[in-house]
Amino acid sequence: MDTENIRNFCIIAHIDHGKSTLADRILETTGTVDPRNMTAQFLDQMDLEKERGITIKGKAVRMTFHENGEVYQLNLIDTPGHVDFGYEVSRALAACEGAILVVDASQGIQAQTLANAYLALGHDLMILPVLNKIDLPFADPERIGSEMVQLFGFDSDEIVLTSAKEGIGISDVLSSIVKNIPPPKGDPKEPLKALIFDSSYDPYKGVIAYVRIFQGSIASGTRIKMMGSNSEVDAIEVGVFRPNLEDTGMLTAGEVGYIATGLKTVRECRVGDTITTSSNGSYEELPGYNPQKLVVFAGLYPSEGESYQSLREALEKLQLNDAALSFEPENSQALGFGFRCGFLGPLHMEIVQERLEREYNLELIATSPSVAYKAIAQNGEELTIANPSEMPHPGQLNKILEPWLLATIITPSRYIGSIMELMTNKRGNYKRIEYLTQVNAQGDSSDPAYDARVLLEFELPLAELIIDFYDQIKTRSQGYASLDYDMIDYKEGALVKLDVMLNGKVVDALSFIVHKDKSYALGRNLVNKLKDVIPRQMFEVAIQAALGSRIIARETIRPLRKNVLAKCYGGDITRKRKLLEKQAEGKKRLKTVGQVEVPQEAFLALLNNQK
Amino acid sequence: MIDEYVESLQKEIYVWSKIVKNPKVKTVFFGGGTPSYIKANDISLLLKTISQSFMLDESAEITAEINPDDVTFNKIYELMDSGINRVSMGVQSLDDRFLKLLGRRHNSKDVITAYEVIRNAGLNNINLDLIYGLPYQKINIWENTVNKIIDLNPEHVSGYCLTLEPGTFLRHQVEIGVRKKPDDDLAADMYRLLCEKLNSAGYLNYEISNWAKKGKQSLHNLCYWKNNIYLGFGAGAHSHLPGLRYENVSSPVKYINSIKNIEDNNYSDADDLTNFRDQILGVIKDFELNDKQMQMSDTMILGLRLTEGIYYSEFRQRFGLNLDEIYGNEISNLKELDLLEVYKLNEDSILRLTEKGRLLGNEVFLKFV
Ligand SMILES: Nc1nc2c(ncn2[C@@H]2O[C@H](COP(=O)(O)OP(=O)(O)OP(=O)(O)O)[C@@H](O)[C@H]2O)c(=O)[nH]1
Ligand SMILES: [Mg+2]
Repeated sequence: MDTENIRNFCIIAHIDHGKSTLADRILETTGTVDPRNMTAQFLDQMDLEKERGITIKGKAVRMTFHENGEVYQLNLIDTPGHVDFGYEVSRALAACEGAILVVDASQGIQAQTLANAYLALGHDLMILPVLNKIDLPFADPERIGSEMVQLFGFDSDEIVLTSAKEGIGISDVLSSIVKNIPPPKGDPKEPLKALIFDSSYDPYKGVIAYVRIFQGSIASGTRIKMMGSNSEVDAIEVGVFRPNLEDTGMLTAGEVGYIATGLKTVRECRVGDTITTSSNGSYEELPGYNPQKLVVFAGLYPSEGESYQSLREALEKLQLNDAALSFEPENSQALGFGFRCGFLGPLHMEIVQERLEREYNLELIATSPSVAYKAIAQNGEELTIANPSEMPHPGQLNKILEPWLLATIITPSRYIGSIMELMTNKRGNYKRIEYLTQVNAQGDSSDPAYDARVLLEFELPLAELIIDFYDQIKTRSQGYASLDYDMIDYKEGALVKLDVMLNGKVVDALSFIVHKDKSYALGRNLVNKLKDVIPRQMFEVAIQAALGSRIIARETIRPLRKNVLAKCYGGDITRKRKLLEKQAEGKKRLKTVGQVEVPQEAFLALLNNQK
Repeated sequence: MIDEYVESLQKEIYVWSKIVKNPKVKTVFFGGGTPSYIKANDISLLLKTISQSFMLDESAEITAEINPDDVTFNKIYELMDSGINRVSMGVQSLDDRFLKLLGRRHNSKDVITAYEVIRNAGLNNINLDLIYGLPYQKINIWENTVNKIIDLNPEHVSGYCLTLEPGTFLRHQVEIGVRKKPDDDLAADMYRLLCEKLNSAGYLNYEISNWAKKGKQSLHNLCYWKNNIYLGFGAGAHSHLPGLRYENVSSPVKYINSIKNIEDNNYSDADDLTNFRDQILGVIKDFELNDKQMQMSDTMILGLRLTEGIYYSEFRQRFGLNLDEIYGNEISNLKELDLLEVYKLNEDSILRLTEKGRLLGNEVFLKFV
């Protein structure tokens, strides 16, 4: 197809503003998915996505669209809206010429609306503004539309009004795509340059590179080279997403599709790399991506009775479908052999853990998440500490640095005070405030939606964000405020390592790093929390929190004295055995530390500690 | 319906006696469900069927379960007449408030009266069932119940701790927070108290929750705990044959109908199960084939309940394996936790729960499932 008739675009928005639902309507209108097979958020195919109603992984799909006697090839990429997955959005943007910016007509502009719109502008993309959910009773397209005009400088008649749910305005969106998004450039006769913007894994076809062809073309069977990793393989299949893989044998400049590589690991086929042909290939790589920033780290360990080896295999397989996941073997005295894993954020961590448990049938113990600290030793040596128990002894340390971020919060003005207070508790530094819109005098003044909309910027330690920050923002603003953040740099902090001991033995997996001023309160809380979650054992258990050798809190769990079954009635031994089996099964969820059986919740007590 | 039910029982007893080839029967227990539905007359009929179909031991222990509010002189006489020589009565508590909480129809006075009626009728083997660890129950209330029971001087006492087992109403109430969870430590103290009082009154604590005067241990319960074989008849009854456990359908109507489906003349000359397996399967709701591993595991979790413990020699005889070969690790870990102990008797070794292990029985059994 002539590149003139190709349009490559992604859909971006704040979480839940209706990207995937809009994609549904576009899939329907273009006849890509048979209406009989249509399900809500069709592209969210993972069980977890369906259950949680959020998009976790970006999806590409090729569509054919007829307008004014012309046939267009549309390549759509649906992106996730959650802040943890901002990196996915930027990868998708690099494969497109345009982006549909969806805004919920009742909620208005939120933190990821801004963040993603700026990302798209940074990639020089054509942005098509869409106001969605106009069917909602509280939708106020006029007011929100004018916010968009004010903030992004759109023309008010550029904005397309839709209800993705009711199928209103869909053909206007399609027309706007065809009319306004520029066709891709790139000469099919030049040497091949294909950007890997995502990847997945298929047991038969190996690693599947999702590519945008910037120039040249590729046919299946061609020997290809991944320029960054310098590895070469035969392209065993070349095709497009409809949305399932469809073998087309060929991709040419301007198109989006896939190349099946047959590779068994992602090492040789990294997202962001450029694919070219082995012979007469390009000498020049595409810009690729900035490395993603891992935000949180946590140890993942097999539960009692599960093997380290199967956890390793599961992580390797999952990584094939989740390029952001990173892991390294580590060893804990308390938990044995496991992995220190890096995640894009708390949600990503939760999802990885859940996928490992479900898709690979594992039972895991996860430690509380931590950020990566930098420890500067007396001799000037710098260490990165992603696992608190590895923090060197204070005597050997010159200083500890911790990562900071710039948080952007968009909120109705009435919640400013409460959010400021939260920021103070979280060691944040106020940077600036901006009134995005003025108070709407016509509106009902008891309704926060008519408040002035305010953007607040704070700098704050990342460690404060990964624990219970997001929930707090939501609670303090009755759900109205939204948050986006970017890592900035490392700053020195008055940080100490707090250890937890069970019957006098330090449990390394429970150690954590905390600001000096908060250490006493946290230690006390944690010890109380542990007392609640650790079941009574057959002996007394002392729980202590310590800073170095100084004990700052202590609790005791009295020994268990009784665990009996009811009367065995009428010889029903089977039922008795089943009850015992169930108890035994429950014990598998426990990790034996020393002699003490500790449940998973204990290792996450820190996470729930401050609620 | 009751008549039909009794007929079905008779037929089921007969059918199984053919299948298992008329072995010797040492104990019979009438109970489960609502025991008072069955009249003494029916019991007499059923015992007749049993003695015609099996080799019923002359000194067999034949127990009837009975509710305190069903006891009359006549009833007891009739029961004794039909062959009953032991009665087990669900007393639970001698405090009327807790009887109410447990949903019992009787009060404490009914218990005393019933007990005296049975005694005066001349029955000399009475069991009283008690339950402790109830929500809101204080130790002195429990002590009071125990004292009164000892005054009655029954031959046998069982005392079970209330457990919140999955699916029970009480558990549900605790889960949704309308009832307080019973205090485990207090329950442990109640157990200790029961042990002390009964022991000094001359009872032997022959199983975790059972006490008997000398020679009055319940043979029927011992059969369960020694993992021996038994047949259960009627709706919802459980049976254990070598390598097989099964449970009958629980609805009495279904039970009656599926017994009817067994052809009358077909089984009389049956010499193995296969002939009319499909018909028998209609009566069975669920079954489970037990391999050797599971039989050993059952032998452990049942046998360890007994004060006399598990004899290494018996285990070896039964399974051809040394106990330590199979469970060496578990046993030594549990010994370290002071939950199990091994003691020598003549040439033999015996494995049993320690004092501490008795109330933590589950922690021990868990290691053997
Ligand atoms: N009333 C109404 N609801 C809508 C509309 N569009 C989407 N929704 C609902 O909004 C919720 C979120 O829709 P999604 O399409 O999953 O949103 P998303 O932007 O893809 O969400 P993420 O991928 O998680 O960021 C769902 O419950 C949809 O049914 C609309 O036009 N009107
Ligand atoms: Mg989505």
